[in-house]
Amino acid sequence: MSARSLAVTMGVSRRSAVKIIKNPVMALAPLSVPLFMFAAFAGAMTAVGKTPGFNYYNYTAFIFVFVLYQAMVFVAIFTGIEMAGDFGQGFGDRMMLAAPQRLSILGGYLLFTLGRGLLSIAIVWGIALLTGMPVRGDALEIVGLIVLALMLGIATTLWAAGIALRARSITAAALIFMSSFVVLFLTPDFVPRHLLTGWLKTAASINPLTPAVEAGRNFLAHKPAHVALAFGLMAGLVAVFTLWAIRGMKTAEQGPKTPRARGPRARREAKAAAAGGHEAGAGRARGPAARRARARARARG
Amino acid sequence: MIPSIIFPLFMLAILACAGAQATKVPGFPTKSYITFVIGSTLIQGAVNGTTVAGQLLAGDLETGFVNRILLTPVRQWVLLFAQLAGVAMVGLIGSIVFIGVGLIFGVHVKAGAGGVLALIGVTLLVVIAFGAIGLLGAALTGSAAQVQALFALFLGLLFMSSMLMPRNLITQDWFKTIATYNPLSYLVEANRSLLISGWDAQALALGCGFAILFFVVAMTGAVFAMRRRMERI
Amino acid sequence: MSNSVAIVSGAEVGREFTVGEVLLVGRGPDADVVISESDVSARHAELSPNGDGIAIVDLGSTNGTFVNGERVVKTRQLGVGDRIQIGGTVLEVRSNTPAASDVKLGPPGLEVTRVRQIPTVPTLRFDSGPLAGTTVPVGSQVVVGRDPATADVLLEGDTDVSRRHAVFSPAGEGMTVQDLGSTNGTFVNGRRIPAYAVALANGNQVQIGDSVIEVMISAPLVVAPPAAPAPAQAPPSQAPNSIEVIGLVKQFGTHRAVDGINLHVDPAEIYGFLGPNGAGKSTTVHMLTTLLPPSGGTARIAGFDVAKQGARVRATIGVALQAAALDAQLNSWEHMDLQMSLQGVPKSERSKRKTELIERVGLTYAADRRVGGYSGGMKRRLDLALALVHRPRVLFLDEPTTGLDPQSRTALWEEVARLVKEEGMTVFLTTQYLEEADVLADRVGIIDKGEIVAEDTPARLKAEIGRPTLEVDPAEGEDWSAVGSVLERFGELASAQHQGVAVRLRPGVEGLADVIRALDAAGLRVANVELHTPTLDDVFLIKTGHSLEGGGGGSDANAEA
Repeated sequence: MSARSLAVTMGVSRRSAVKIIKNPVMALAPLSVPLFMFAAFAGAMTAVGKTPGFNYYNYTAFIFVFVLYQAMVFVAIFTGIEMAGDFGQGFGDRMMLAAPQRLSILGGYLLFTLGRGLLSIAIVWGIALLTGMPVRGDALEIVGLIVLALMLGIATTLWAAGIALRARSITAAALIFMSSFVVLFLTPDFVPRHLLTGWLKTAASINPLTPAVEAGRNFLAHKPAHVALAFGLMAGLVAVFTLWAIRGMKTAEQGPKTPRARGPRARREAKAAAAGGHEAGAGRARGPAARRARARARARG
Repeated sequence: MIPSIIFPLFMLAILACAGAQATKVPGFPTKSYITFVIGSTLIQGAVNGTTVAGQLLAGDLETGFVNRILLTPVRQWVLLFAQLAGVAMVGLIGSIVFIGVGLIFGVHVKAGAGGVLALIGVTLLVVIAFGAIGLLGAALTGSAAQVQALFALFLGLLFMSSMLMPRNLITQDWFKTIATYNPLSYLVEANRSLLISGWDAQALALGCGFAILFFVVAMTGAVFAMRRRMERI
Repeated sequence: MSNSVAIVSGAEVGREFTVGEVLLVGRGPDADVVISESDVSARHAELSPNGDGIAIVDLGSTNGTFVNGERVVKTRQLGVGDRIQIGGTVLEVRSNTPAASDVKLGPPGLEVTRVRQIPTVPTLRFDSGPLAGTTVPVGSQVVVGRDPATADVLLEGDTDVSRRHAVFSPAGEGMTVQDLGSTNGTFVNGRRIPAYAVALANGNQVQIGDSVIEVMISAPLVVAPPAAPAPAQAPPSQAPNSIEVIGLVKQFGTHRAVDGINLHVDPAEIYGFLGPNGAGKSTTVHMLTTLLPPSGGTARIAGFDVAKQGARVRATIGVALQAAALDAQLNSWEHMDLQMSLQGVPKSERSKRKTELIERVGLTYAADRRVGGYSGGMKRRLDLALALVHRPRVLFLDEPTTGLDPQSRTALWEEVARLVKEEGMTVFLTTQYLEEADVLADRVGIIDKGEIVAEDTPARLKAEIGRPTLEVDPAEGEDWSAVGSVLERFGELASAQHQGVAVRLRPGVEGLADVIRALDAAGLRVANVELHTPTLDDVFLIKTGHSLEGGGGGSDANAEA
């Protein structure tokens, strides 16, 4: 990454950070739902942890991993919604006009997600430890859990960015929210996979996030298992959504959506326009300015 | 539509499958978790009445449309009650959808057909109560964004109730205390009683009582707040 | 050091003559360079030292004197390597200036890379164009142009050069240049010069048409250090501040929002782009600023192609778009910080530049406040400041004064004019307001339905479609025919818009005063006098068939849909 691109990335992420600092309540907004859920499940459902078949060491710890991931997903959702707003209301144009390499703008939002995500992770961890949640994993396993959470946050941000850049409108917020929020719920969220029933059990079995949730719980329980699968799948999601986001930026660079040319005449016209405006008939260069311009172009070769 | 109907249905679907293990807790009042939790789903949809009514009014206040209406002979309290009519309609549709889906997926209503009507009635009462709270929020703040924040607050409070587990089976004392003092617990339990216990007068009285109290306080406050707002203009 | 000429063909090949003073070339006995051929006149031509070259004058020879195959008309400046043909003999001009490698300096390790004679008379050296390699001393006024009758230096074949384009004049120990009202302008170091004389310094580069001319004014001989690597930018000779558009097209599905437009904006020019809503103005600006890829055609900003060199274009331009895209949560300083990061302004410059720009747009008092609380005018001013953080060479203003009160509008006009005058910025301005185009723009292009329908200075556009009309309302009881007779002296009678007598004024008749005096002298009383001058709206009406103000349909946003 060149120095200019890095400056753009830092500028974009700094701007989002400044807004959070000026409005500290916004720092907590992505945490509201995860923390309420943590309180609700850790508070109300601990009895489930003692039912037959529930073989995890502690119900609060079991829920904690899901809540941690949910907090990262919410950070990513908020970043995606911010992007949708920026590109829908013209602020995205300001960044596109200035950045030499426009992907560095995307880098700025990702960097901000990482920073805000680390803050959210710290808060969730702090609250969990304050409630007396027992932690069996060692330092490396805890780091592994956090890395998985960050990877989930990055993947979700890239997914949301792809939607935001294609839609270029704040109306994309609903799609960003629902698509990101729903997928995490289709994992062994409140009970282990073998205790799920019905369609949710099937969904969780094929959901690529499930190995990451289970691996995270295994890290916390000091029983690492399926680590390679979890990291591999998360890396795969990051790679796929990186391509999705890059394509989204290319789409954003094309400007407003263009309806497909319909009919043979319309397609001919669109093709001719792409080949060269002044050869398409109506746009022949006229006037002394045009002749001078052509002469200069010829001189340049 | 999404916060009123689709999102609560989604949470119902998730909880029905994920919460089945909870029925194995000794003393759990039913073997069907979906029957247990649908009562709170109805309340979850009803809480959205806050947003429906509040954002409509806040939007009209922001654009100045309310001023245009109040230049006519229409009284302020009539305007407010008219807003609730729309909210009630949304609530009615929502509760019919939830109950219908629940019945398809195996929900059993202990109180029978009358219980189904009572479910709808209690839910409507809660919808109107929270609609009134939304109107109060709008009249006080004049901001759609702040009304939206109210909804998020109530959703959080709903999670901190006996939504997921009967209060007597909550083992964490701190949570049990919160759920006991949380009025949303009684709204949930009123519905749940019709589904699991049959006709429980105490539960119904508590739930309906809280709903009526919310409605009266919120509506009175909304009328006064609107009057003061119009005087300032 | 003087130059010499050497015979390279004909009799006495190899003989060399130093041109330290005037040398007569001819067949006669008193010639310094004798060429005994029947095609050579007795007194054929004269060679004399001139600056660091040689001048040749044909003395009215029968068969002519030729330099590099071209017949010399009166006088011609020669440079090293030029070949002179007189009769069958060819002489080559050679330099007696030592090569750099022959110059040895005392301190070891010091390298001589270039040796140049600085002439004692201010001199112009043509580095490109039809006279490339030629030097012209400016001992007296030198007119450059395309008219053989009046130009001292003739730039034939270059259609961008006017007949009398510019004049160089000695001024003390230096010289000045003045544009003589040329069509395409005279440029000094990339900046178009105004109509008055501009002083030149040694090393200045003057561009006239395709000719780039280096100014050489007496200075101590210096040893030039090794040349620094060229910066990764287009060289100045590639019109550093210009905009060039050929056949630009933007197609949205089957709808052509921009339909093959051509335009050229000169450096330091304000170009007004006028048209109703939906005409394609904003779409054009979006393409030129790399926000939209063109569907066809080409556009170059400061020499960089918008489609292929987008990053370089963006580094060169500043843009204030129609909707001032600002973050309501940030204040002015924070916006500046972000913009400077995005534009890569060095950290060491940021603090000073921020303060300077905020002061310049008059926002110091509000800079700590969130932009969400700013008025429309304040937002536009901040937007302008943000567009200038990186000192762009070309500034795009997309309807910058829409929605502003008159005071804010005037302030913004003044700032734009100052940027052009003092910083040599090129400005591309789109507007719906005729007054704005009239006041600000050097030239105006009118676009309608994606095509440019007219392009010229506001004055010429208006003059093209008509002359001012004066309408006189005679006082009650006054003789209308007598009024008409007086008015006829000033132009042709025309039909009046209201009840009165109207005259279309002749070119050269500009004011009411003459007409009023004439009426008064004739003892005629008038109740009312109105002067109707053509407006740009009249131009638009003639060119497109509908009015610009209140005309057109839809918005550019619709055009893009």
